[in-house]
This record gives sequence, C-alpha cells and structure tokens, in this order.
Amino acid sequence: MNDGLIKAVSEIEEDEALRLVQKALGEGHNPLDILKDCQTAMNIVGERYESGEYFLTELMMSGEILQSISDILKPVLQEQTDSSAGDKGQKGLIVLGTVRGDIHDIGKDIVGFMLEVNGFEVYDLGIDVHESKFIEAVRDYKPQVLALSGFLTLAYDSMKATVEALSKADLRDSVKIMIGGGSQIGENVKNYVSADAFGKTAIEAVRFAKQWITSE
Amino acid sequence: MVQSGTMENESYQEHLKKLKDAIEKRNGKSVDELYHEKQKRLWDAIEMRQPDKVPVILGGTFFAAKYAGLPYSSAYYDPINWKKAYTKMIADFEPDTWGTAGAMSSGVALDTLKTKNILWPGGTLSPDVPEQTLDGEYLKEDEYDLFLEDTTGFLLRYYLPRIQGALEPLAKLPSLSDNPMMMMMFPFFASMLNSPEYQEVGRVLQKAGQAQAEHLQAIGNMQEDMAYLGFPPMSERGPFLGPAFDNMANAYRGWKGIVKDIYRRPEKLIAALEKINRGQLSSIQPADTSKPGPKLASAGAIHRGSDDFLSKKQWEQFYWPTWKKAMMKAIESGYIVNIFAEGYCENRFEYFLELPKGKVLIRFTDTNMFKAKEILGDHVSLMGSVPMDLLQISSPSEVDEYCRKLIEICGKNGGYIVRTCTDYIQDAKIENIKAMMDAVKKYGAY
Repeated sequence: MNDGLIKAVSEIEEDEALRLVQKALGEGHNPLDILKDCQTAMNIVGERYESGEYFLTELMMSGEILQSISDILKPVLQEQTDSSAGDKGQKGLIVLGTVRGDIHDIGKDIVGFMLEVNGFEVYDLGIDVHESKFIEAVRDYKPQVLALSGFLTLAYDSMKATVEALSKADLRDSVKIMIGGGSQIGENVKNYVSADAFGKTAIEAVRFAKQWITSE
Repeated sequence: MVQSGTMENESYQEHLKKLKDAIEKRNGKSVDELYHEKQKRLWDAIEMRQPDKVPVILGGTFFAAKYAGLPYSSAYYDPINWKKAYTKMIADFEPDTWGTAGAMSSGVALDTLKTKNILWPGGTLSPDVPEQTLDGEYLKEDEYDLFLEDTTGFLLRYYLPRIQGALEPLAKLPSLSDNPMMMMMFPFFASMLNSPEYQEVGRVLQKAGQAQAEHLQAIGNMQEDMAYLGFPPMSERGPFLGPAFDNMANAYRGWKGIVKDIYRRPEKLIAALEKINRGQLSSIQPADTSKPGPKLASAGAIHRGSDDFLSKKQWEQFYWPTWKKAMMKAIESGYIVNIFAEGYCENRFEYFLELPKGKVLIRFTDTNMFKAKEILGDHVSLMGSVPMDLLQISSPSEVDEYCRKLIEICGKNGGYIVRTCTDYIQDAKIENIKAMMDAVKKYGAY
C-alpha cells in the first residue's frame, strides 16, 4: 500500500500523484497494486463526496487524474486491464444510458465512471437512447442492473416507456432498474416509472449495484 | 399596438381582440384596470411589500405550443401561430405577468448556419423534443492566452467555425491583429475573400440574417401585445449580468473543461472571468428613474454554481467575486437584481445576504422554499417554486395542497411570487397548471 499515492489522489493533487506513480513504476512496483491504491483513493473521494466535504469538481477531477494514471500504466499492463480499475467486470454487468429525447451526459458519465472504479463492467449506450436499444442491450448482455439517466422532465416518460417495453419483452424481472439525473427524480418519479430505486448521487448508484449484485 | 398589413397579422390582431374581450368579460374589468392592478401587485412583491394578493407568473415557450396543439418546433418555424398559442395560454390562465417566451431564434437561420452547439425542435431534434445545448470545449485548454489577448480574433477564427458549421471557412482567416498592414492595404485582404468558400459564407450570412429578421418581425413586440391584453411586464428590460463563471463554462469551456481549469490553470481561468466581468461592468447604464416602479437587472441563472457543483472555497475563488461585483454595480446604478438560482442553493444563502436588503429578487428551483423564506425572507424577495414532478405526475388536489402551503408560508408578509420551478413546463399536465393558478386565486388574497 502506497499511502502517499492514496493521499495525493484522494486530495486531488494531480502532479504529486503522477510523480508517485512514475516513482513506484521505477522502483518495480506491480501496476496492479498501483491501481488498487487508486481504487482505495477513489473510495475516499466517494466517501468525502457523500459526506458533503467534496463536490462534483473533486469527483470529476479525481476521474481525470485516474485517467492520466491509467494512461501511464496501460503500456506496462498491456492487455491485463484497460481504462480504469484492476478488477473491472468481476462484480457484474450494468447497462447505462440517457433515455430517449435527452442528451444530457454529465451525470451519466460520472455514474458510469464510479461503477467502473468499483469493479463493475459498464455498457454505456450513450445519450438519447431509444427503448428498443435498451431492450436489445438487456437481451444481448444480460446485465444484472439497468441504469437509466435523464435530466429533462420528458425523461420521466421515456424512462416509464423503457420499463414498460422491458415488461412487454418479458425482460423486466431479469434486471434491477435504477434511475437518476434531474434533481427532482425521487420517490414520486420512481413510482411513476416503476423503477426499483432512484439515486441522487453516483455514490448511491454504486451502493445499489453492490446491494443488488454482490450483496455487499 | 398590433401591426397590421398582411393577412396573417390581421388574423393575429383579430385573435388578440377576441382574447381581450374574453378577459374583460370574465373579470368584469377593462384590461387597463387589470394591467394596473397586476402591475402594482408585482411591484409590491418585488420591493418586499405586501400586495393585495400573492402574484403569480406563468411562462413556457413549449407548454404554450402543447396547450394549443402545436409541435414545439412551431416556436422556431411558425412564429405567428406560436405567438397565437402563447398569447392564448396567458389569456386563459391569467397570471400577473408572463415568463419565458423564448422563440427568439429562427429555425431557418439555425438550419442555414448549420448550428452545432444548440439542438432545436424541428431542426436537429424531432419536432416535439425541447431545445437542448451541447456542453463542449469550444475554447481549448491551450487557447486561454489567445482568448485573453485577442478575444475578437478567437471568436471569429476559432469559436464561430466550431459552433456554426456553415462558418467553418472562417477558421482559415489570418490573424488580423498580427497583420496591421493587411488592414492598411485592405484590397489585399478583400482579395483573400474572393474564393467560392467565402462567397458561400457571405450567402449563408445573408440568408440566415434575413430569416432571423423575418422571424423577429413575425414575433413582433410581445410586450405591446401583452399590454393590450392587460398583462404588464415584470419590469422594463435592464442589463444582463449572468455569472461570469457560467458564461465561461456554458459558452466556452464546458463543465468538464472548466473543472480541469480550476485545478490546472486557475490563474488563467480567473483572468478570463475578470475579462468577462469588465465587459459586464462597462455595459451597466444607470436605471431610468423617470419611470415609476422597480427596475430589474437580470443577474442570470446559477448553473454550475449550485451546491452540488462547487465547494464553498471554489465558489469564493471563482464564482462569487466577479458576479457580486456586477450585481453591486447594478444595484448602485438603481436596479434590483433578479437571480434565477437553479439546482440546490442552500449553501449560497449566506452570500445572497451580502447583497443590500430589498435590492434582490431570487427565483429558486430545487432549494427548499420554506427554508429560503425563513433565512432570506427579511432580506430579499422570493419567487418559486412549484416542482415539476408534482406538476407532471401528481394530481390536481396534490398541486392545490402544495400551493396552499407555499402561499401560506412563503407568502407571509409579502415579498413573494408564485412560479413553477422552471419555465420548461411542457411535460406538466394541463390540469395541474390550472390547479396551480386556481390555488393562487383561492388562497392568495392577503
């Protein structure tokens, strides 16, 4: 465990974090251990975000730092891993997308990133995703969780239509569905959409995924 | 009042006349009387007095279209029918004044320019999807110096070609500030424009300009039309002083870009914010005190400055100083500043209290209105906030109950205006908007 690196990443000190990664590599440390330290740091960032100490800026910038570290480690790791954490995909599959008619992606991208950092494999279908695309993805990838994002108020209806389409295709019971995005997405919208849960933050999305998939 | 001439305008005039007659019949008062009642009510609330009734504002570019059975794209491509729809919505619901009436861009102009940073109904979106903006790094991270030293050059040679597809050839123009001789020997510069691609740029600008001018002419003077129906404006138009940080994030750097700037180049970001701020400060003219009533300056909307986005430290370093400076100058120049605090803004209450008492009107979106009344109610006037999930999903009786509570608590002692949390209310149930307006009539009298 590299306490210096964990501190640098979790306190959003980019230059120091990158310097420590180069140093650790130079000293022959295993890149997978470095990634593990990054994941520990990201958990600290997540906790601080949830407790109100950190904001979206810290969450996003820690993602930038992690991306830079991955870029350094990639050639060393070759094909052992890719863009984010070391144990990606081991915990389960999540299909993610911004629903039909809505092109907002800031929240969706943060959720996708935090899920990946926590070891989930994420199929991100992008923005303005039609119901049929979600059905196709659920059928093809067989995810345990479907995460629907939307910022506009029209998203409530698109989310509802997506869940209904899944029911019609006999796929509703095969996945747990979480929704999030616009600040007014809460209990009321969750019931309207017939989703299983709503989240106000990316950390909550991770918590639901863990609860549903790994029973952590 | 209403322009006449073409058949379309005559029929619009007839449409307005019918609306006016219906309003007068329904109220048993002339539109002039109604205008002055509403105006006094609004002015009292804005200036933190207790009016006769709690005022209410209704807006909605796309809701108006939906209400009249038109596609949202009508706001861009069918301005006469769209303004008929909008005036009908206002006449039927009878708020004290109207909110967003935003059909200010011609769809044909946007099509012709091949606009990329905005997606609009009937153009790059299907006709019933509302306008959306693409967040992007239209100013690259290594272009700050250019932006700071030669803003016009940046806008002309980098920004416009990136956001208007039809203006891409402008990217090949030489830097004018580096070539003073080119301006002195102007025919040489003119000869550079003698190519098919610049001729096409000229043609596009002419076509887009003409389409936009026709669109604006068709929309006409909404304020006059509303006055004809008995609806006063909230105030005469004052300066626009949106937060420099959001200007930078929305127009140039995008959210992802500006987050990186906060950490990697804070000095450059602050220099750019100060540059935008200088422009704002120099745009503020003293309010016209010869006319009665409060003068509102738009302080814009809080986008990336809400509680979720920035820490207090970041807010204090990047967001608040330039914005506060602009608002203070407007207040000193005789205006009341009108803030649209989107998202959750409870962490910003203490900063709002730094502005002079009675000189601020704040519209909230997601912030707890009851808490806002408790903490800010003696210092600023408040506007808002009937939530969209309620208007879209709940029943009219639930809307009625929520509005009753809002009026009872937030309306206490005046200084309060009822309004939906956003004017993008097109997904609300029509019966719920009606329930909101009825609730104000039922419970709003002091």
